[in-house]
Amino acid sequence: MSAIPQLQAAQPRRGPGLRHMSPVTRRRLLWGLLFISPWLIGFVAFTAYPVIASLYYSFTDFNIINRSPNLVGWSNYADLFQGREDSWKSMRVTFRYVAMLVGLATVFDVFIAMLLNMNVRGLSLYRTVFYLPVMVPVVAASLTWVWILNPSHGLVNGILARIGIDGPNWLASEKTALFSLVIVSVWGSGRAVLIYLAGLKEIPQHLYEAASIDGANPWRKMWAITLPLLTPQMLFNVITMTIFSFQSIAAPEIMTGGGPNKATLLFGYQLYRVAFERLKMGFASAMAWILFMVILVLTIFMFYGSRNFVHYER
Amino acid sequence: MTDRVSNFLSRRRFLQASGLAAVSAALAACAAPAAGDAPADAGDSGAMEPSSVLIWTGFGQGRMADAMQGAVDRFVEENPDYTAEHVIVPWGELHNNVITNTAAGTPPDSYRGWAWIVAEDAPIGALTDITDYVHAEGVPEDDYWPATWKQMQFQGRFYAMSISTIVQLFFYNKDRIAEAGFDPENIPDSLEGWEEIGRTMNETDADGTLTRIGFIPHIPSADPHNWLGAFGASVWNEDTGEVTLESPEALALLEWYNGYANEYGIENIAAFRTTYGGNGFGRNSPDGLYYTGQIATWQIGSWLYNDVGEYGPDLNFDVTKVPSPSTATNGKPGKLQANLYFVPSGAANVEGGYAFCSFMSSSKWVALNKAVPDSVTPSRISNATDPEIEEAAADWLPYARDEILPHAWAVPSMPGVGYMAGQFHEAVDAMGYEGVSPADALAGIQERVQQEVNDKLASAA
Repeated sequence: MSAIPQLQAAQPRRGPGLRHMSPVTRRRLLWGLLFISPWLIGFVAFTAYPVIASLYYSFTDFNIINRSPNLVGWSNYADLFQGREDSWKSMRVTFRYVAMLVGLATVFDVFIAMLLNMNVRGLSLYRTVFYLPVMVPVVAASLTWVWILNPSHGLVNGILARIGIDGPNWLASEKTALFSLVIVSVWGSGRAVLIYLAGLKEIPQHLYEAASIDGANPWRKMWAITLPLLTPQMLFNVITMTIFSFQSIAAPEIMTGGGPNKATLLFGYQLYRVAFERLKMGFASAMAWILFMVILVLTIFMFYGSRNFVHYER
Repeated sequence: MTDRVSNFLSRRRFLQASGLAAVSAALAACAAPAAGDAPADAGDSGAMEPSSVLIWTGFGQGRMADAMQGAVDRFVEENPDYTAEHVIVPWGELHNNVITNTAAGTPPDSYRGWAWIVAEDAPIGALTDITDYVHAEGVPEDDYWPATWKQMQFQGRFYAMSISTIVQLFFYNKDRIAEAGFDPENIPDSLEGWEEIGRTMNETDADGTLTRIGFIPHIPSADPHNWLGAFGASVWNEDTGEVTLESPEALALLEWYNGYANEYGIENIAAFRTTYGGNGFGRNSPDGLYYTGQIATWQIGSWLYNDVGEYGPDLNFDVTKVPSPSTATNGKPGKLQANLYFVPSGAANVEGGYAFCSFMSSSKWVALNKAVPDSVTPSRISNATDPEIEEAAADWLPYARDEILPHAWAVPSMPGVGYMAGQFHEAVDAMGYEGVSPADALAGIQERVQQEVNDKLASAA
């Protein structure tokens, strides 16, 4: 009990600056700053400065080469909202991609996590198998999937042909190309499965026992206990997956190049092309800030919306 | 314990330690240039150390890798003032890497690129203006092909030196033509004649999947702009800066492309490209589609001669000019584009970079041992007409040099010419997938390319 007042005394007072701190507190602060300085320097140099710089560049005609770009006011943003550099098209494609990916991945990952939560033989092996795609670099995975989805010689269409289905031109058709990218992303979403699995382990067994006594069948238990108590993990995974999928670059670059007919032209990939192929770094910075705002708004929306359906065990 | 630690680091000590760390970091940063300055110090004692030239190219595979390294070694041998380091960067990443390294202040001293880069990168300041070096050296204009000489410049200033000049040729597989019932020794002159042969050679399976290609303009070279010259279209007016793409000739080109997309199905064409298009349709492999006969015709640079020699030596093939439609009044026999060496902006050794560019452009040794094995015409006329070089390239050089090069359609020094190529690709997709009319697609290209040209010219100004 006596330690608590001492600790409180060591806390810096709110409001006043360095001059009003006790010498002990000030020295502790200096020590702390010294120890975290490598991270602080890294953060300032590689995160804070680029973020601020990109905001500035978004109001310029910076082309990566000119050291003193001209200020162009809001014109990059105005051009962006007028659809220049396929901004609207790529944003629409991205929303479709994110909606499909997050929806499908959530259902798939929860389902797999439930299977991996069952007591069956060889469980460790199954868990390893489902986590393995996470370890595969996205470039290698994308190249592999290009072959798996090959319309003539690919594994998928080969299997479909055996059951009498004429498989589509997965990556060459406007209708299926985006879905193909979604499949690849869902295949590599084993990290979310692990989080769901941890969430399933956290659900108290006595709830299931009580439900059994009340005569609930497994289906009812899943809807009344498992899924509601898994919603915190769902919220986390949906938000992180939304953020990351808005920024997808590698898969469309390798698998489709944004085609066919821009059907897989994701906003993040288009941003990369505008920045490093078209060298319109000012415009690309504006795209990055719009992307940031979209993700921010969506995240806030999801957080506020989650109050109604996320259940935290108390 | 807490007090002892606190006393150990007073504010003064903290500031001293921080200051010491900052000074150490500054000194460490100075250390590398200090070491790099060593040759200059040595020069004071009378013995000049050679300066290093950093060269980037994509020649990392097959005979051309050896030829390139041979040229670099030869440069050092003939220029004792320099040492040289050749770094291989994959072609697809080379230009982007140069740009990002230029932005970072660490570009190579020289790199290998193409004519379209001049008008794209000079306006934004990514290239070193080497005009003074060119004039000081007295590089003779009359020893270069006129189109090549022009492609080394943007707005009258020199930004590159050309080693060789690519012309597009129309390669055809004689065995497949014979299989289709035509005489490979009596080939047609017009595009329509080739289309007739091509349609006979095109093969599909029951569901329309393309299996063998005789002639489809989307396969293997998908670039519609490569046909602009054959259709007699013009691209821009250099004097006014006006893009002139919206013309009956360019419209005919898009309609022609769209006709094939409708006939064979844009998805089937795309599926063939997806399935087999990797690594340039296997260009660097004995299993390449052209070498095995799965593709019978190919409109591509003369350098395919080199690849055929290396990967498909038994192929029974020949070349002709890129055919024009019989209706084209100003059809050109193929595209011309110079292969160039550049000194990027901010290169550490501009003189060395230029020396290497000049060496690669002028050396007969390079023409004989690098350009000729690459099956591209040396850009110096004295080299291209040298008897020894002519003898070494007797199977293709006289035809490319005399029949095609003087009449070919030269890629214009238009800012945004690379962007234009991409716009034609997108137009083909928009027509095939969305049903956009060729006229609307062309109007879109015209508008966007004009905007791009205006932006780039404004940057240059």
